[in-house]
Amino acid sequence: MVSIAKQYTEIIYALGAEKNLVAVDLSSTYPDAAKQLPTVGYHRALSAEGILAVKPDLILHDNNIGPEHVVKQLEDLKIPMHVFKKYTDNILGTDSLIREMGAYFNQRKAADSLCKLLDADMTLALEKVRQYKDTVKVLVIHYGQASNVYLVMTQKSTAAKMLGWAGGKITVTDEKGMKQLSPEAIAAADPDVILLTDFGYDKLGSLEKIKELPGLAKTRAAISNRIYRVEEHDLVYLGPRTGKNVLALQKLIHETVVH
Amino acid sequence: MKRLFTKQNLHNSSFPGLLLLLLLCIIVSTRYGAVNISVGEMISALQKLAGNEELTLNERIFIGIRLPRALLSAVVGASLATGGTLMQALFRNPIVEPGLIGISSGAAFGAALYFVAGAGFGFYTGEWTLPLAATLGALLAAALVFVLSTSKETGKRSVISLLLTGIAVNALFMSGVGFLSYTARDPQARSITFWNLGTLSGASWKSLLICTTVTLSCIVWSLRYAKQLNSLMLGEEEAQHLGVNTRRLRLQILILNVVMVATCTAFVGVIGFVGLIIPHFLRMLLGSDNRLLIRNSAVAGGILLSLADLSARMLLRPAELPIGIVLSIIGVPVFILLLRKKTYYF
Amino acid sequence: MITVHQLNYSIGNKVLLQDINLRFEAGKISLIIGANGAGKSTLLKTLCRQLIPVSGEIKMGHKPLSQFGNNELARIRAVLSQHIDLAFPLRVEEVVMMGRYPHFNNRPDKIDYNVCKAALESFDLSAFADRNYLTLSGGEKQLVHFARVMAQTWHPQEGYDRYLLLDEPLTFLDIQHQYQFMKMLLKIARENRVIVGVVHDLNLAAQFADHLVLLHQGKILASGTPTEVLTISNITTAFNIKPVIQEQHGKPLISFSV
Repeated sequence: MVSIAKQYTEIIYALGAEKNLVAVDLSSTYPDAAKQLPTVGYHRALSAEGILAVKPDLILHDNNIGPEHVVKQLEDLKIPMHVFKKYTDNILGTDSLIREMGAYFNQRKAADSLCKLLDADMTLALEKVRQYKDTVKVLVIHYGQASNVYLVMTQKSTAAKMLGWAGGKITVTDEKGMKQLSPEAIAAADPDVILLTDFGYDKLGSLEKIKELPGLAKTRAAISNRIYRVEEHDLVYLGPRTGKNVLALQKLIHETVVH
Repeated sequence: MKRLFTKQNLHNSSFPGLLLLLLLCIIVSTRYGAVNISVGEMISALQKLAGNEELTLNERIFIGIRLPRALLSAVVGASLATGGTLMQALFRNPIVEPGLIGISSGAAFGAALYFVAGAGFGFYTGEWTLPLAATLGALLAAALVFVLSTSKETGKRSVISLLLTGIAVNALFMSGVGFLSYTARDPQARSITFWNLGTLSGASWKSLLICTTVTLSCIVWSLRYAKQLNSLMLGEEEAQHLGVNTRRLRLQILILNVVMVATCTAFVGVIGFVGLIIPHFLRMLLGSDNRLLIRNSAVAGGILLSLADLSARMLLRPAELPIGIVLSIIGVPVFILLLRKKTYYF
Repeated sequence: MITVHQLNYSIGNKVLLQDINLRFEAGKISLIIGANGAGKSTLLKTLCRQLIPVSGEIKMGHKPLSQFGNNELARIRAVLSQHIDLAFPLRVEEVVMMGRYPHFNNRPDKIDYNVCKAALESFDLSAFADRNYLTLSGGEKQLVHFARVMAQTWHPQEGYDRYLLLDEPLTFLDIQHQYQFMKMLLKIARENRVIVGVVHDLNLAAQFADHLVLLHQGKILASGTPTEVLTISNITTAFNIKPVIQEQHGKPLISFSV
C-alpha cells in the first residue's frame, strides 16, 4: 500500500492501520515513522515507475497528484487506486474522513475514539477563545523568502481556519490558498505575530536573522519578537491532531510571554 | 594508381553499426529502471499480447510504460540530432542548433499558451492540439528570428545577427512562458514548469505514434536535400552555380525542421544539447558529407537520448531526474572538450 | 557562344551597365578589364544569372539564359570565384565531387568517379585526394576549386557549348600560381570552351587574352584583341593614369611611371 496524501498518511498511522504501508510521498512527514518509509517523490511530480518499484497493490491518493499522465498510466496498468470522499474542510468533514477511513481499514473503534478526542480538544479550544478579548493578526510565511518575495497563506487556507479557531486571523486575501507578497505588502500588513513553517525557518536559521529580513523588520511582530516556528504538517491540513494543534497555536499567539 | 574515396566505403558501414548499437541501447533501456524487467518477461509479454492473455504487473509495465518510453526517447533523439545537423548545414555554422533560432522557446510558448488559455477558451483539446500549438509557436519564433536578422540593405543574414536575434527572440518567448506560468492557476503552472524541464515519463503509444510518424517522414524527406546542403558548404553563391535554388532550400529545410522538432518538443518538453553534440561528434568521426551525416545523426541521437533517459531513471531511483539535467551534465563537458580540439580530423 | 544584346542593369537611379553588346566565342579566352566600379563584376554576375538584367538579353548558344533550368545550366556552365572557404572540413576528393552534383541524383556513378579522378590528376592533386581541404594553402585551395569546376563540365553535353566564367580567380594567388593557373586556362580554351573572366592585372590580361573587353562607367570603352584595346588613350580614359606601352612577343606590355 502506498499513500500519496499527507492527510491520509497521518490518519492511517493514527488508526494503527500502517502495517501494509510500504511507501509515502515526500510531504507525508507526520508521524516520524512515515519518514522512515521509502518515498515515491513529490506528489505533483511523480513517476509511474517510481511508484511501481515498491510493487503496490493499492495506491491511496486525494486526487491532488500529478503530472496528469501518471494517473492515466497507473489506470492503464490497472493498478488499484483508492480516493476517499472529499469532505468539507472543517472538523465535521475531518470526522467523516476519519470514520470513512476507519471503516475502510476495519478500525472503526479507533476511528471513533480519534473523533471523540478531536471533538473534545476542539470544544476546549473554542471555549478558551472566548476568554481572549483581542483577535491576533497573524501572518504565515511558507518556505521562507525567495528572491525577496514571500509565499504566504491567505484567508482561504486551512491555516486561516485553524488560526480562526485559535483566536487569530489572517488578513491576506486571495482566491488561492497561497499568495506571493512583496516586502512592502508585508510591511503594510503589519501582523502582530508571524509564523514560519519549519523549512523556511530552519533555512533562515534564527529569530535574529528573520527579524532583519526586508519588509519584516519594522512589523509589530518583529519588534515584539513574536516570530515563531511551526511544523508544516501541523498547519496545512486537518487531521486527528487538529484540536491539539489549535490549542498549541492558541497558546503561541495569546499566552506566550513576550520578551 | 591511387584509389579515391576509400574512406567513404568505411564510413558507409557506420550506419548499420550505429543502428545495431541503437537497438542494443533500446533493449538495455527497456530492461532497467525503477522496476527491472527481464528479457524473459519481455518475450513472454509479447507472446501473451499476441495470444490476448492476461499479463503480469511487470509485463504490463513493460508494454504500457517502458517500451513506448524507450522507443520515444530514440525517436525524439533522432529528431533533435537531425534537426541540429540540418540547421548547422543550412547556416554553415557548427554552433547552431534548433533551440538557437527560437524553435524550442517558441514551442514552449505555444504549449504554455495551450495549457493556460486553451482550456480557458474551451478550445478543442484533442491529441493533436498540443503539438499543433507548439509547432505554431515554433514557426512564429523562427519566422521572427529570420525576419529580424535579415539586413534591410542587402537582404542577407550574417550568422552573428542571426545568433543575436535568436538570443533576443528566445528571451522574449521565455519571458512569455514565465508570464503565463506566473498568471496561471496552480495545475496549469505546474504543467508548464514540468514541461520546460523536459521529461519522457509521459510517453504513451499515442505520443510515440505521432512523434514517429512526423520525425521519420521529415528525416526521410530531408535526405533528398543532403546533396544540396553539401553544396551550401561552399557558400550561397557557389551552391547556386551548382544548380541549387538556395532560397527554396532554406525555406524547405526550415519548415521541415520546425515541424519535426516542435512536434517532439510538444510531447517531451524542452531538451537541449542533442542537436549540438551529435552533429559535432559525427563530423569528427565521419567527415562533413550530409548524405552520411543526416541518417547517422538520426541514429546517434536516438542512442544518446535513450542512454540519457536510462540515466535519468536510474540515478535517483525510484524518483526521476529531468532529462535536461542529465544531458547538460554529460553534454557540457563533452561539448567544451570538442570546442577545445580546434581542428577536425576525419 | 555567349551573345549579350542591349544589356542594361541598374539599381534605383544608379545605372551600372548600359547598352552592352558583346559576343564571347568558344575556343577563346575573353577577359573583362576596367577600373573599380566600371561594372566588371556586375557584367559577370548577369552572365552567371545571379543578377537579372533590367532590359536586354543574354543567350548561351541559341537559348536565352533565362530559359535554362537550374541543373541544365549547371551541367554546362561552371563558375570559379575568388577565395572560397568551406564551412566544414571536407576531403579534397569530396570537394571535387561536388562539381559532379548537377550530374547525379543521390549517388555518383562510375563516370562521376572517373571524372573526379581525371580532374584531380590534371591539376596534379591526386596526392591530396584525402587531405582535409581546410589544411591546404590558398593556392592549393584555388587549384582544388579549379579541378571542381572542371569536373562540373568535364564531358561535353550534346547540343550545348561548355562555359567557364571566372570572377577574379587570381586575386589571392602568388605569381607562380597565377601563371600556372593561366597556362591551365590556355589548355582548356583549346578544348573549345567559352571562357569569360574578370581580371585586374592588365599585363596578365594582355598576355593571355584572345579577346579583351574594357569597361568604363558601365559602358564598353573598347572590345577586341589586346593590341586594339590596350592603347594609351583607352587606358588613360579608363584608369585615369597615363601608361607607357612597349611590345613584348607581339603583345603590349604596360607600365606606369610615378
